[in-house]
Amino acid sequence: MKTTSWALFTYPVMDIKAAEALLNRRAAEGWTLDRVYLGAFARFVPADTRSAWCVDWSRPGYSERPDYLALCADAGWTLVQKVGAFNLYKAPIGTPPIQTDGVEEARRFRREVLLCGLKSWAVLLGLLLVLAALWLLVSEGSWRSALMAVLLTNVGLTLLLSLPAILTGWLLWTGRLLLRLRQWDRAAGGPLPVPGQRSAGAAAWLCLLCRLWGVAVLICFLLDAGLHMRLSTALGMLIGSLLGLSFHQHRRDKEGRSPINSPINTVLNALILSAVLFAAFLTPLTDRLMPAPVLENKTFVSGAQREDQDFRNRSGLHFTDGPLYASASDEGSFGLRHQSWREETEEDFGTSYSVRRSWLGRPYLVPMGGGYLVDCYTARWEWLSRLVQDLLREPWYPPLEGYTDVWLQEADLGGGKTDSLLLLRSGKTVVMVETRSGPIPRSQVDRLLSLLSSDQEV
Amino acid sequence: MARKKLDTLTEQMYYVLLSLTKERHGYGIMQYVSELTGGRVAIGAGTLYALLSRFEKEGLIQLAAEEENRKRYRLTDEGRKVLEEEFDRLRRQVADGVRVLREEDDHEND
Repeated sequence: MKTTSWALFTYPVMDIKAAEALLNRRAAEGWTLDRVYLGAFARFVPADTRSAWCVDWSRPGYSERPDYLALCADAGWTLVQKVGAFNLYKAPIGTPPIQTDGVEEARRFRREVLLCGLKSWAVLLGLLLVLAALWLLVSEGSWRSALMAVLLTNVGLTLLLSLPAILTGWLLWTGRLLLRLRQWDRAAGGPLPVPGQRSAGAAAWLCLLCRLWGVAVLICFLLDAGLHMRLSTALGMLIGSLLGLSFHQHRRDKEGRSPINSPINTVLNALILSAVLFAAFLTPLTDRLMPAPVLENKTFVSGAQREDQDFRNRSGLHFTDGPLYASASDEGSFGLRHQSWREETEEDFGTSYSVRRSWLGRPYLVPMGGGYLVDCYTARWEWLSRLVQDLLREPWYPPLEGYTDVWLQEADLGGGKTDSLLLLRSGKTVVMVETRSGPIPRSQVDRLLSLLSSDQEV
Repeated sequence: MARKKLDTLTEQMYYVLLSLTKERHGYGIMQYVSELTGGRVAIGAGTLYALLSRFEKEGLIQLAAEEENRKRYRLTDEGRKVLEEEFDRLRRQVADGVRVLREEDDHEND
């Protein structure tokens, strides 16, 4: 005989009656709710006596007030657990329901669901604002730089890849919400209709997927934090947060709870603390999650000395130089790896450099006289490499005759010097080479293409 | 404005105000209404709590005492007036009903 039974309990607020129906259905089958774990998985155990279940809104400053709970308890309803927006009550069979005024209940439901809908839209707007902020702050208004910055961070790439699904999901969700509101209006003061099991089940699975997506974004944030956030910034945020909480430690809400215990504060502080504590361990994973590097220890110019750009010198929470972090010269996301290095031949030694900014606003040196600056982008998918190629290619770059996906822009500087910029894509890799030691001979282009194709075959 | 919303009371509103002609706490109201109506009208705890909050906000009832998270309420003068008006309205409705329905009965008997 089974001693436990599990069910998914991630119903959205608009399906409150489906959550209540599940508990009562299980009660009719001889089960009683033991506990809902992680706010998602309901564990049922065999019941000694059958109970009636009621799911009520969990509304701060109202449904958890001691006098409200006392009134419910007097009426026979015992609060078993609070799960997200729901309060789960049980009572002996035959106890009048908690809500007996259909009109009032529908009005409350409408208000709560609309409030929740507005919050969801605010989150979506927030996501769009994050992307806009990246565009404005990181890339100084250049959409191509902004998009590149997004592609090179795990959070940015995750958000970008999921944006179409999010927008589609939100539209479907809004349609479902409107349908519920219409059904409640039609109930006209009677009991509110219970959503169909299939519809509510699908919605619960979708909610679970949303939560998993949230966890994925959180992990991406931690992975990025190690690479892009300075240790001093993270510690400053943590100390600032703790100071803020200490100033408000005597404040209490209507239910007598301290803001220190509020879910938002807990999540924010856990996030910052995790960034500080775990970033050093998670950052090495970033390198492993990126697409495999190409052109490692190889040079564009045969026999030149290669000096990799060390991204770690300029930012990042780096406590260790462990073997896990294989390459300090790489930055990027699970979809795109960026390597950058300088090459100098013997003729170029002692050349002067100017300071430029990378896609993420980091300073780096560019040779003014001789030398080569090479940027290599390796994508996980070919469509992404095409996108990177389009982001890097200016419309006036002339294609190199006899080649596919190769562009060479050259300008005569006088004195036998040529300012050259080579951009090429081979499979999933895009390489850009800048030099004032030009012109770049075709043999070097062929050599680079050959190196790339042999690396990608490996 | 608030007064306007309560020109017509729902059945549950009426019985809650009626029960507060004497000082009672929440569960006492639920029991009294159930007894008074022979179980025909049952007021849920959530519905009652919302109604009491609303009546208190609109000045129809006032908090008389509170002990161990149980609040006792009683009608205010304003609440009494609203209840009396509702009672008169219902009595007129019943009188109209009696006049029309009894006349129909008399015609049928003739």
